[in-house]
Amino acid sequence: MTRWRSLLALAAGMLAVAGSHGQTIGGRALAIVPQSAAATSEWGTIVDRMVRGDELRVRLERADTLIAGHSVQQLSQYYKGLRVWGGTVARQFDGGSLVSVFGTVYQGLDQFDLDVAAPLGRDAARDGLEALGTLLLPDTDPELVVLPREDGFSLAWTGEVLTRRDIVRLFLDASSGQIVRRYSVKQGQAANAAIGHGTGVLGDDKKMSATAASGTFLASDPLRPPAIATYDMRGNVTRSINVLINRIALVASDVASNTSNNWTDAAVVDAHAYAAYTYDYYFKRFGRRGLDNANHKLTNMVHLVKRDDIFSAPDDILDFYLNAFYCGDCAGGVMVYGEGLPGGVRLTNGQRFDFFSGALDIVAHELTHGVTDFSSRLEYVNESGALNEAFSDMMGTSVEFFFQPPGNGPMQADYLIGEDIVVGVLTGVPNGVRSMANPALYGQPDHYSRRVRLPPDDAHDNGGVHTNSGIPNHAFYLAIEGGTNRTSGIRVTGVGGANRDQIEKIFYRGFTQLMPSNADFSMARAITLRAAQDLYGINSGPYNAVRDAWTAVGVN
Amino acid sequence: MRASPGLVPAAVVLAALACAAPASAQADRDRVRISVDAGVQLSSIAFDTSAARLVYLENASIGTSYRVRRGLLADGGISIRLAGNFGVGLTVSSFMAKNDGAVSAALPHPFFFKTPRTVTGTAPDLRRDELVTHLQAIYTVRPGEKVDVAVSAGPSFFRVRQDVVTDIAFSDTYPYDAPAFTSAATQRVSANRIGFNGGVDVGVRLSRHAGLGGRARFSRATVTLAMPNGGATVSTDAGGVQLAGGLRLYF
Repeated sequence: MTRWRSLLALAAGMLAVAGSHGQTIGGRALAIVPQSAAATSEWGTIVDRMVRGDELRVRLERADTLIAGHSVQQLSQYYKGLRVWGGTVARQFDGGSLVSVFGTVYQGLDQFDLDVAAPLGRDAARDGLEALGTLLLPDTDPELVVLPREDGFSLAWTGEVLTRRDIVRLFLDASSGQIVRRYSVKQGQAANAAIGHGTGVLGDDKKMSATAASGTFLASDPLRPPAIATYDMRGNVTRSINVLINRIALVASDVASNTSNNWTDAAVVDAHAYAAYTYDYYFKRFGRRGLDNANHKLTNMVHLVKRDDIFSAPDDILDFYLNAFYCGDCAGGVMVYGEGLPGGVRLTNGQRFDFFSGALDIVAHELTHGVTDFSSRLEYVNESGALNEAFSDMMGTSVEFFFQPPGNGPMQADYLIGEDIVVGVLTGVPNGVRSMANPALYGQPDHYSRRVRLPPDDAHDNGGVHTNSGIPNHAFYLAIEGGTNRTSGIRVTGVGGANRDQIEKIFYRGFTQLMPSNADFSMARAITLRAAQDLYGINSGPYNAVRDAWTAVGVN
Repeated sequence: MRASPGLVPAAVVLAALACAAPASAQADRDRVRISVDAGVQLSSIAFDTSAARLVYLENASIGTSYRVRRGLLADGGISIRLAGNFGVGLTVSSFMAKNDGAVSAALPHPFFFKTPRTVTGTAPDLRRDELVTHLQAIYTVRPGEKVDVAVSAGPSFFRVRQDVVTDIAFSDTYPYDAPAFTSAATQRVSANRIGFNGGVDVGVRLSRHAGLGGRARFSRATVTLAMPNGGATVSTDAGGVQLAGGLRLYF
């Protein structure tokens, strides 16, 4: 499944295709959020029965990296052999004993007596999907699914297609072939080991884990477990696009190289180093081995365009300048980092943009979208999409605090997103694109009552995923640092910066192991409290901090 | 400093036996006395060395702490009576000991500047050789017909050779935060220095030209060792208490 998650809604909005509004996920959804041990046990019995009846199938099962002896399981709902879109359950076990269960399942399917023999065949569906984009991405062969709707359920073919401006998941009615839902899946803001010296975007010194080969040095990290490589597209936008849509493959000559092991291409240096730092953070903090916990390769792409070409660049490649994104199905999964703006050029909002790879939190944000893709698969729409975005911000900030000293300057850890490369150059214009400490500074809500309600389509940021992420972001901030929510006035006692690892572990556990793909904010609250209970016990300091933080931002 | 448990009592016994023996006129006619001894040198010398090399773009510092303790001693010399009870002597002693060194290194991290990692280990069997030539002024008394006791002092010319740790090998696996010591690379360095010696030798004549004897000597010098490849210099003491016994020949 293609995942293209960008850093900014700004550019995504600029590039959005005008299209039909998607449907609000409806049907007879039943949220599984048990509030007691007895309820958990009861739901465990129900889920077991559904598994035996082939109504739920295990999608993912793995050992818990934070609690020895525990394991977690992700299940998808099925009806007569077809996946029920959005029906997912996550279970946690201690040995053979059920510890927690969360999710959403759809009831009453039998009442609609769905005929699962679709009038529209697979080939016709493929043609229909490709007609709406330029290419149906590999690994997304059209899948016939049961689609919950406001008025019941229907059959739909779904797949992800690359359009000129986006990567979009489409749902075609299996009878009429008409689009019944669409949303962007572009996630983003909006052997021979040779340690080299590199200079980063901010002029800092870094070590480059490079590979020596035939008298040259390659930006390929031979020292970490996964393959980490940074590709320099040398401003060849046509080639870059063809790589992203899998028409051509990245080849060895695309790998950034240097004749000496003293690297001066700052975009290459930081992309390469910061992707590796992010891998290190996940490993050291949580014991996780990369995106899929199995050392999936990390591929960075830089210089997809040339800065000076921006004034003649078509709108549909502006993301290559003013955004960063993770695309799970592009070239086997890549992180793309925008080129920024030429020196002296700023946007009309008064901000100047440098190479996007120059911000550790941005790089970690994008890679975390990959982690989400390989774990909860939070749907990139509405509240689950906002949670997806928020988790990337949480981990991006956490990586900053892991490697950088706290402070307000360049290369210092704070609760701003992207502040190292997005710099306000006019009076009163802030650095960065979001603030977890004060979301309102960047137009984000800091309380559930202020959430935006937008159509869940790609023309409206999939329901405001880059806006409503401010709510869980602020909860994460309050749980660590404490403070008073500006809207509710509720004061939270955080665990303190010295204990930030507790909150990081709680949210990591909740978001990667216990959370189903269709979680909403309320479910995220219950899940993170469950994670806090698992790790530190009920009514412990971290548990109370998380509980009070969610309450302060109006999520109950 | 600890005395050898066996040799001092042996010397005392020899002296006692000699005092009980009848005097010999032969003794006063001897001009040359040769000794061939084996024994032990008791040392308690400690010193440290440091070495550096480039690892992952930064200097790794490798520190080693050494202890030189007891070791085997071979000793041979000749003395000549010049007049009355006074004479001069020349003795050559050779000391060898092997002791472990405690290695502690700060290794740069492959991924981050200024993030050294500490690794510790043991460098086994670091060898110390001391070849010392002692010049002695000797005063000899003969408390009995078969016994002579010589008290001596003078300068000593030390040649010290020492194994020093110049590098280490280590194993390193992701996340490279805790490297493991594998082995130490060593080189032998040497230095010369003049020191001093003082001691006493007791001989017991068993026949006209032969006898047995025992010796206790203290010698000391402070030598300066230069680490290889232009490394730093380090000072270390040499010598110590030497206890030995063996053959005496009289002419």
